[in-house]
Amino acid sequence: MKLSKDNWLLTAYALGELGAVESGEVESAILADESLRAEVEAIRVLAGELEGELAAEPMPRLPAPSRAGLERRAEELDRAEAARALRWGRGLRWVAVAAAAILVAGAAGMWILLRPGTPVAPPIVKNEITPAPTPPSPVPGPKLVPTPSPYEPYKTGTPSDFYEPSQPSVGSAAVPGAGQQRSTFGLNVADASCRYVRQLILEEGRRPEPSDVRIEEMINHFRYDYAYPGEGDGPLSVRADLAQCPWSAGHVLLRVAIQARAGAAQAGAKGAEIVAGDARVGVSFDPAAVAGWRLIGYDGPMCEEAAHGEQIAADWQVTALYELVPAGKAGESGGAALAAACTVRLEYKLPDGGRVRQVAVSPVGPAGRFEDASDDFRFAATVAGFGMILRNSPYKGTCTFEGMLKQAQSAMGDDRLGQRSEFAQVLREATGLPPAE
Amino acid sequence: MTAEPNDNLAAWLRKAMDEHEGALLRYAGRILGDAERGRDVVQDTFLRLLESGRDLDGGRLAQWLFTVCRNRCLDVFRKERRMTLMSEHVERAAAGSELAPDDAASGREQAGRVSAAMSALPPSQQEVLRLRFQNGFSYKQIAGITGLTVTNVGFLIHTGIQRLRRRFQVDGQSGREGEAR
Repeated sequence: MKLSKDNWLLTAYALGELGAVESGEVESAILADESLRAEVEAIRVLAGELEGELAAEPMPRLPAPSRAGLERRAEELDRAEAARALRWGRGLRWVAVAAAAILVAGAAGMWILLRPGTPVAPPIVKNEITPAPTPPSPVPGPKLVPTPSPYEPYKTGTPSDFYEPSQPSVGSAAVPGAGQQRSTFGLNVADASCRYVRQLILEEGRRPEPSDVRIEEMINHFRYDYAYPGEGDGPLSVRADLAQCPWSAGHVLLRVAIQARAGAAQAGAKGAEIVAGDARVGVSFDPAAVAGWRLIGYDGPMCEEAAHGEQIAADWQVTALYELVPAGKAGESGGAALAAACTVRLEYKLPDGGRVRQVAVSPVGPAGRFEDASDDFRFAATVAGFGMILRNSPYKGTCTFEGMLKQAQSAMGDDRLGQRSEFAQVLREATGLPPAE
Repeated sequence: MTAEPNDNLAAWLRKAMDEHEGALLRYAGRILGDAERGRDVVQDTFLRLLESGRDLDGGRLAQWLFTVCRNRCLDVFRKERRMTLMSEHVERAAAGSELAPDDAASGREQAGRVSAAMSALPPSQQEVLRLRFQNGFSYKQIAGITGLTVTNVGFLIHTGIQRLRRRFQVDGQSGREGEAR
């Protein structure tokens, strides 16, 4: 084979792009011609120089909001996937709901209370092919769909549509009838917004747009020191606590904290170890003692996900905060009546069986002083306060960066992961930054 | 989220973005001549990845991303009816015709002497040279991305390298002349 210097095969050979046969042919040609060998060498030198220079070109990044948007979409798809996998069980849940509805019809919005871990065994109607349609509701009663809060209504739309609702009156008794006294929230919360906020403030030195701040994502970015479920408690534990609201005098915070059991050591390699499926949470308020309430955060379209059961992985935890307005008669912090008026119900299925388990709890005791609440409680409330400032929320009350920083510093816990001291750093940086816009 | 499964879509997407977003932004920005529209295209490319490219990884993933990204860039051109130099070059290159150097591109800021010289090459040559030497794709992968044949790719790379070498000889001489003056 004779090769001219202008043959493209020479370059392909120099770059190692030829198959064995062609490569052999070129090889024998250049063995016979020293000028071709020099040519190959020159091509390789230039290629190396080109590679080096091109590698040194700056590497742009996607803007953080684009990345965050994509991650949210991926998380939505993840959740949809998990929901699909478990959807066959939905039919059976509605049977349970209808049964519960009959039992509590007329009981002023209170849900049936079951002792923790009590299994409910409805007739199993397994339907793996077609998901059960939304059932007719034969009796008025609890509906396991997200109920809009009068204060932060659920919205659907594109992420840029989210904002705090305009009416700034939390406690204006704007609570319609008993049918509106139930709330729910998504259990698997992303944390893209929190990472975005942190990056913007610490690395870019500016405040995020209010619409990019998701308070529930910020709260759930942090790890809290919740007790794992005890022996015989099932895979999930749930607790509810009250404390006086630090930013609005006379209001009370309800914290709902759910913790999944610890993961088995050998499961690590395979990714998430699912400990519960089809999990959903409902919070109900008795209007006799709760004149108003709002779920803090959760004002994006993902709240719709709360209507679907979600898969829960080992070690997972979620925290939700409600701001409550005690009814007039209940007094400043609502007293014991307020605690009794809040019920958190969690239902889920064990991953290996179709049995639905339900757990219901109420807060223990009346709302104490905020300063006396646990570090975890105070820290979560501080993150919420910070989020409300960034969102220009009409509910932020007396929250200020300085106040939040002080509050955070007093709620560090043992901060094993260093997350809380980093949050304090974000707060310090945010103090000096002008608002977005 | 405090306990995130390692094998979920979100984690996989993050990894894909970490690995490829920079290279794709450079690529799209160059084709479109506009970093901002490049960002839109890259974002759209990852969105499409979520919808349809889920079982890809490694080199197949990179090739898929570049292919989709390139097609989206050309879509943008078509949509805006802005058949710029680049897409014309792409189309003519696909038809196998030789191209004149693109002098308009030579004003671009470049760090090194080779890449500076590269900006004087026709865009179709620049594109395959970058895909080969910046992104590490094989001739075959480049053919897949651009819709050219492997021989077309080999020819374009060969011609590009020869031109760069000639350019250096010329530049080298003029440099020496400059010093002599």
